Amino acid sequence: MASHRSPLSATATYILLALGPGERHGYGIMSEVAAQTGGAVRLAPGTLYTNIKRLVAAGLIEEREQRADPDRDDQRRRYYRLTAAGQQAAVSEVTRMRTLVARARPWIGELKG
Amino acid sequence: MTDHQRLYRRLLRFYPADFRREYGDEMRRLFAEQLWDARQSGGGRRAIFGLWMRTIVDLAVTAPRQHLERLDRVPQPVNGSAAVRLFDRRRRARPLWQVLLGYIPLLVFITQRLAAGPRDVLFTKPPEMVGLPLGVVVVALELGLMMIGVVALWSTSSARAAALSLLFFTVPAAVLLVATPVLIGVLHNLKT
Repeated sequence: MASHRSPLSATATYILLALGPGERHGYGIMSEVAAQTGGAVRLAPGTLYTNIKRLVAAGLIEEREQRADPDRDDQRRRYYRLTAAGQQAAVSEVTRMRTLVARARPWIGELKG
Repeated sequence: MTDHQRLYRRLLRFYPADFRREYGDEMRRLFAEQLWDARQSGGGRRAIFGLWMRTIVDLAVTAPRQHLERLDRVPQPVNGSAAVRLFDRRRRARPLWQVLLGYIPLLVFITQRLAAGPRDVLFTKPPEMVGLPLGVVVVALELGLMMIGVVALWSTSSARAAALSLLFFTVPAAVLLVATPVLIGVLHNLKT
């Protein structure tokens, strides 16, 4: 079972969840994070790539071969995807957040009601 | 390549050379795409201004941290749980009194202003810059420098990196804060 210790930073979690089961390049990750957060989080290049560097060093994501984006007529791009450890960390984070939400739901319901 | 892209390319020099080599091209491309998005959003100059504000804050936070990380190497993880520990801020915790060292410029500033009293030269005497007394603008920049020093101290566990952050951010901010009222006074006297 996935560990619930040591939460990831919010940005690292966004990136892992944006990658999900597929592969994305930097702009794809940034766009997916913006979409998942309703536009509230827009990762700037420095934040995105310092986190990518850490996640690669941590063995949570890996770089795939460079290739052009079929949707954009441009140069080759670097794609990233989750490793097995990254998938485990993502599951762990989602489970942790789900537990938090479940615990908070009763009193949030009372506030709303 | 637009002027915006050229400027961003120059700003990338603030990152360590090895980081630039690894990610510089990708960062430039991402910035170009964000610029394109800002233009397409219909927000005009305001959207581009917003992009630049985010980009400068991003640069001010991430570039110093990259320099510090080079001095503060983290161990390579062997599995997922070890990797997760890299992101646990408790591991990188620094004693509070050491982080408070970063606030020395702020203490200098407050002491100076209390000593100067209500007729403070920083706030009452021109020359003006962007509609504000020059002293206010300079002090804002110095406090920004101090904040970078505090973030740097907070985010590293390496004694050497902490010493460098004090040397390059905290001490210059404190020196500038001490010197600014004197310079403003001299400038004012020269004017009159």
